[in-house]
Amino acid sequence: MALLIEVEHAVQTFRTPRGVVHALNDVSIAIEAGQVLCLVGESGSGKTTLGKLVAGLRRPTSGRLLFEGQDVWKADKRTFDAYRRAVQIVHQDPYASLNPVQKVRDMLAAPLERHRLTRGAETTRRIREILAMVDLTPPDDYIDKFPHQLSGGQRQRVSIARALTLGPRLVVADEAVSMVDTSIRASLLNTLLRLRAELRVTFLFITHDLGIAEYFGQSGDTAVMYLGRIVERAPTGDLVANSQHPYTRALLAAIPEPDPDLTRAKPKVALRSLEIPSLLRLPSGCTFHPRCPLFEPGLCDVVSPELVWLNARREVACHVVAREAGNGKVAVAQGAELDERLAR
Amino acid sequence: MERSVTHLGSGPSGGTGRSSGAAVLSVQDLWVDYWTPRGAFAAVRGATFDLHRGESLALIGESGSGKTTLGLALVLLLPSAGRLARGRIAYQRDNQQVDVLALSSERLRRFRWEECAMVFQGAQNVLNPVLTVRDQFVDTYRAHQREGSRAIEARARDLLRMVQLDAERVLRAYPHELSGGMRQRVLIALSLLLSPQILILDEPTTALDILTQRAIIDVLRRLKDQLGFATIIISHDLSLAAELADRVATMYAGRLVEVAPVRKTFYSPAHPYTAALLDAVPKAVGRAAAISAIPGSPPDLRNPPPGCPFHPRCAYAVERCKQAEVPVEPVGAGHDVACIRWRDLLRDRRPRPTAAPVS
Repeated sequence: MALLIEVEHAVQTFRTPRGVVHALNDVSIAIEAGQVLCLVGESGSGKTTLGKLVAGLRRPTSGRLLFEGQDVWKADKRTFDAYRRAVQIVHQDPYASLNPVQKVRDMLAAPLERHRLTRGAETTRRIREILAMVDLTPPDDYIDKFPHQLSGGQRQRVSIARALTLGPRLVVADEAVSMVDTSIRASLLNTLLRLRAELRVTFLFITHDLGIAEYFGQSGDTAVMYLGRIVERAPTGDLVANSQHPYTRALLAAIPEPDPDLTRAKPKVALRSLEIPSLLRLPSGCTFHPRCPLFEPGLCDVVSPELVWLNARREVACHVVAREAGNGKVAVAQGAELDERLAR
Repeated sequence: MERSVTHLGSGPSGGTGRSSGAAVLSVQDLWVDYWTPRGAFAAVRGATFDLHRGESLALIGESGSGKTTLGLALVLLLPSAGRLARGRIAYQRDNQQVDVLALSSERLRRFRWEECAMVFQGAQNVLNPVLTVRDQFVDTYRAHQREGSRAIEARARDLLRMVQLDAERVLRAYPHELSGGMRQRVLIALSLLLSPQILILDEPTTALDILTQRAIIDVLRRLKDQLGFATIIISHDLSLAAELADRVATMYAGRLVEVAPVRKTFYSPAHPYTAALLDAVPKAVGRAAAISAIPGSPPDLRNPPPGCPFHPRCAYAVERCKQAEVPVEPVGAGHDVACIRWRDLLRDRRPRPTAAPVS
C-alpha cells in the first residue's frame, strides 16, 4: 500500500519569554492510505503539535512533511492546495471550534462553495447527505440550527461533518471524543469507525486515553509519545498486550479501569519521580531517565536512545530493553518478570 | 432516628433495622432547586443515603445529573441561584447528632472544615496565588482559631509527606511553582489539616494526566487507610469509582437511581442506566470489546419526562415506567434500585466472572 503521509525527522521548537520549548524532538511517522495511526501521550508529549504539523497548520522548525511522496512545504501552490483539501482536522473542543453565529447550513456550505464543489440547491442536498453520514438524522432537524441549540455530542458531529465536506483522504482527530459524556462518546466513536470503513479515510487519531486508542485503532498502529518523542510503536493490540518501553508499561499500569477487581489488582510500576520534567529544560540522554525504574546511570542519562526495531512489528526507544532484546531475553522476560522488575 | 425501608441506600442491610450508629452522615429526601432566567427546576430530587464511618461512597453520573449540586448541598455551599428546598442532613460525631441545616453560620463554617471538608472540582486553581503553601496552611489553621504555629507546621509536613510531596520544598513554594497534580495533592493535604471525619472530592482526577491520576488515587487510598475518614467521591469516571469506592450511588436527572456495593454496581447492576453506562465504556485496556451507546440524551430538567426520567432512553421501559414515580426497592444487602424491571435486567445480565488481572 502506498504511503499517504510521512513526517521525517520533525523538530518543533517554540520561543517563549521563559526559554525555548522543545515540543517535538526528531519525530518520524508514516501512514499508509486507508490505515489508522493512534498517537497516545500525556500533556506535553507533543501529540497535538504533531497532529497540527500533519494537518499543515504548522510548519516544522526542521524536518519534512510528505503527502503522497511530495514535500508539502516545498510544493507549488496547486499541490499545496490539493494537500490542504485532502487533510482535515477535527479539534477537541466543539464549543470553541464552531462559529457561534453561523447556522450548521452555512458552516458546511462555505467550504463546498468556496471550492466550487456544489452550488445552490445541490449544496443543500450535499449538506443533507453529509449530516446523515454523521448520524445527524433527520438532517432537516439540524441544518438550520446554531451551535448553542445543539448538545455537545451533536456539535462534535457537526465538526466531523465540516471536516468531511471536501472529501478528505486523511482526518486528524485530536481528542475528538474527549469532551463528551460517556453515554455520547460511544456513539461518536462508533460513527467515526463506520465512516472510516465506508469512506476509506485514513486517520491520525490523537488521544490521551489508551482504552479509546485501543477501541478506535484496533486494526492499525499506535505510537506512544513522551516529551516530544515517540518511545514505542506497534500494532495497537500488540502494543497493549505486550508493551516493552517502561513508560508504556507505567502508563498501562496506571490506567484506572472500570472493573473493581481488575483495577485494584493491577501490577504497579514504581516510578522514581512523579513529576514530569519541563519542556524548557529536557533531561539529558533519555528524557524518561529521571522517572524510569530501569534507569542505568552513565548510559540512560548520557545517550539519547534511538527508536529501533525490536522485532518485525515493534519499535522501542530504550537502551535497556533494546540490549536485552539483543540478548534474546525479551522472548522470555515478558509479562510477569518485567512487571516484577518495574515494581521493585 | 427513624427511616423508611424504601429509602435508597440507607444502610448496608438495605435500610432495614440497622442502627444509625455507623453513619457519619445521614441524608434524607434532599431537594435542591435552581432558579434560572428560563425557569426554575429541581437539580436534586429526593436524595436519601447514609455515609458510614470510614466508608468511601462514589457518586457517579453524567454532566447535569446533579452529582456536584448534591455534593455542594451537603456542605451548604450552593451557588446563589440554588436553594435547598427540602430534606434533612444529619451529621454524627461521638454519638452526638447534629442537624446540619440548623447550624448557625459560625458553627456551619467550622463544620465545613473541621468535620466535613470538600475539595472542589478544578480546585488546583483555588489556592491563593500570592501565598506560599506554608501560609495557606497557617491561614486555614488561624481561621479556625487554633493555637500554636509549631504544631501546625509539623502537621502540615506530615500531611504533605503522606501525599507524596517533598514537604520542605513545597511549603516554601507558591502555587504557580507547582504542577497541577502537586497542587491537587496540596489541596487534599490542606483539606485534612483539621482532621475532618468526611472528605468530599469533586472530580479529583479529571483533567489530570494518567500518571498523575494514578498518584492521586494511590494517595487517597493510603490516606484513607491511615486516617480512617469517610469519603464521598463525585465523578463521571466509572474507573475512579472502581478504584476507590466501597459503595456506588448512580445519579440520573437529579435522582439517586441505584445505590450498591461496588462489586454489585460493576458486576450485577440492577438499574438499566447503570448497566448502559458500563456498556458505553471500553471494558479494560487489553480487552477490546464492542461498546454500545445510550440512545438519546439526558432530559431537560425544566421539563422532565413523567414517571422514570430514564424511560425515553431505556431498553427495558414499559408503559408503566411512563406513568408513575418509580418506587425504590431493595435488591439485596445494601443494594437498592429505583426500577420496576430490575429483576429482568439481572436475569439478562448474568454476573460476569471475577476478572483475572491482565499480565
